[in-house]
Amino acid sequence: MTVAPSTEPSGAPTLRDDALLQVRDLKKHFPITQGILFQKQVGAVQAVDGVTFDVAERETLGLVGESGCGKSTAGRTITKLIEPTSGSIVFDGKEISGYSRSQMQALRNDIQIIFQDPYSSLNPRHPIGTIVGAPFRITDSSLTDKEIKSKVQSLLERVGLNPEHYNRYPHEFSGGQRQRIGVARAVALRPKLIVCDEPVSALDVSIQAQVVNLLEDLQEEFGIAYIFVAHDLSVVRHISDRVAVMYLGKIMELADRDTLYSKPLHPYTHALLSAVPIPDPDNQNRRERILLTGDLPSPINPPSGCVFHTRCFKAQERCKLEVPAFREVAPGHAIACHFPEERKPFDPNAEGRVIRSTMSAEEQDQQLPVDAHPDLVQQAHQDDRSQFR
Amino acid sequence: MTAPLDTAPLDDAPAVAAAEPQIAGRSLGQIAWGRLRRDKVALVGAGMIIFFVLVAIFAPLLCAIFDVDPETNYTDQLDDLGFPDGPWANASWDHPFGVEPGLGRDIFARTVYGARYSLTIALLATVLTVGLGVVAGIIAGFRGGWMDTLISRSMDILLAFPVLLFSIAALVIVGQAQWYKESVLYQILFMTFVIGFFGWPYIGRIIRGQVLSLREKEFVDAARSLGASTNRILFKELLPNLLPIILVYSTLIIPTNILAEAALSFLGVGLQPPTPTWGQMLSDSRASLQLVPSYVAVPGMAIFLCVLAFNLFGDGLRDAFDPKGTQ
Repeated sequence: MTVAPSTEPSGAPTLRDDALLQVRDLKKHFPITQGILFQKQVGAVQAVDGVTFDVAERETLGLVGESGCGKSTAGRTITKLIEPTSGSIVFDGKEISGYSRSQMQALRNDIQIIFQDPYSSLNPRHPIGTIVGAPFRITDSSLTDKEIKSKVQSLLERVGLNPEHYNRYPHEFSGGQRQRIGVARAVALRPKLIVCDEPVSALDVSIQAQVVNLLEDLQEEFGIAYIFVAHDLSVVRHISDRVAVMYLGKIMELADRDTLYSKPLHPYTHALLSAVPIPDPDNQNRRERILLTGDLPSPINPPSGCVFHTRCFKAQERCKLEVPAFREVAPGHAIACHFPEERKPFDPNAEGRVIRSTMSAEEQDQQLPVDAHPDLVQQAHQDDRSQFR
Repeated sequence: MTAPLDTAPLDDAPAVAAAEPQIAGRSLGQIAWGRLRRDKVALVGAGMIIFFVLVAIFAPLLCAIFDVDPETNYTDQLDDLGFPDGPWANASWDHPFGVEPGLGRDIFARTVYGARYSLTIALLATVLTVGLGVVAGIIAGFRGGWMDTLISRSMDILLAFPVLLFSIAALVIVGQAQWYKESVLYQILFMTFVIGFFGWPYIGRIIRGQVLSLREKEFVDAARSLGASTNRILFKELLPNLLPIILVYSTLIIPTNILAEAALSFLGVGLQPPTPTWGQMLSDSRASLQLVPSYVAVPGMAIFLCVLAFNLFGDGLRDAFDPKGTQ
């Protein structure tokens, strides 16, 4: 792919037609309804609002962003645990966004998910032999119990658990061990793609490293591609080949790992990276710190123009009016910003400079929607889930 | 963690594997059973329950041992006024608890047979209540939407329903029919319906609440992402998590149902004479309370002990399944 000049409108950024997973303009809006008998839609939580990215085989794409930016929703939509509102998901050459549950059945071997909470992702009433054996039992009814047992035991051994623990129950394991069980269940059917929904966020830092290393080893051995959802920039930097930064349901910047961490262009990425602690107090005090003021705007009523303009330290009039196109500015480096700028993320000569949003507090208040009531968001979420049961 | 991550030794490779050749996991059910076995009060309750159940099952045998019958009038035990011819309702080896005033039927035989009918109705009503409640609760909680609204509002309506008035009115209508008067089976089924049907909203609400919280757990999403069918999710993933609640609720609702049956029989809405039930015996004994006080004591104690036994056992069961309890 040739270098696309920065003036080129929208275009398809960093897209490869041969990629394992191609996500195009994916949207997930959770409807908000009111009324008891005759429910009418009064709004929508725009959890994911048009994201576009690719994942190649054996590649890890990191998906980062602050809480509520839609990164988990995006991951779950790809596994079809949540039905997308619109957009296209092409997996292995097949358009799966409109697949029904029975059509998805054939793809369950290929797309799997690892969950965040190792305590709620394992059924407390099942021994781990049953939990890890479930993928085999569900997909292939011809296997005998003995065959399943030997498969499960070799899997347990592979993820670093004692195969003798076949008959033990989840409550007898530690958090790290439980996450290994979750990993064993996800890789059981040798999937091509695993969505890791914050797989290490709930774990101790020392255990995080083990689980991340295990994921990397399994990727090498089985040739799995990962979508790694996380909010820990360091973990994402360690495991990812490419990283997408999300904000309020949109991708702000997408680049390969080294470019994103050393030469980020988007002001939001700058702000995020300036918040990563540096393990050296002198450098930590001297580096530039970008402070985002105000709260994350409500996804029910996102700001006009660029969704980040309410908190951006570089926001100008144009940002309020015009939605910045998600465009490629360098090979493999796409951003959605009108005023991209290269800025050293760990500049030791910055003399502790602090940059704040230029917008006054009153202006920000005006931007905040009035109907951003958390109950409505919750209700919308439940309503939506009940639809596909 | 920008520094490279070294492969740390596994935190969790237990060293006990070699020493213990057979590592058997203990399920939550097995742990609960272990706790229950150490709960003496619950075991006493369980022993009493077993005793009452055995009495009910072997009622004919017990009656045969003492050569008594629940529906025979032993008029030779009565004096001229129709009262038992001696203290303690004229208790003797032939009639262990004596005979009732008026008709002279054997109290022991009637109590033993009463256990049969009382326990049968209480158990059937419990099965009906729990069955309806669990199904309705799971559907309401899992499906959500208009189905949930429909079921939840039905529960509200049923909870506000005057059960006692309804059962009295229903018996007035049904009780006149010849087929009803003649068939003990129909009477049992009617009582089961009256007691059991109106109770399901209570457990239905509990189950609905549990399912609402369980279905959001990630293991349900995990099962779905593996392509599990709805049936599999309901019966293999959710139901095992509901079983302790169902079990505990059932043991605690049985005594309520025994009392409800006794109350309805006391009011004359229960099984029709001469079929003996404890509530009916209580009702009969009221007339001669001052002259034959021991008559009221027998069915009264039977009801009291039976309800106590189920409550003790149910409490023990609840404690045993409580995740916060000590092992």
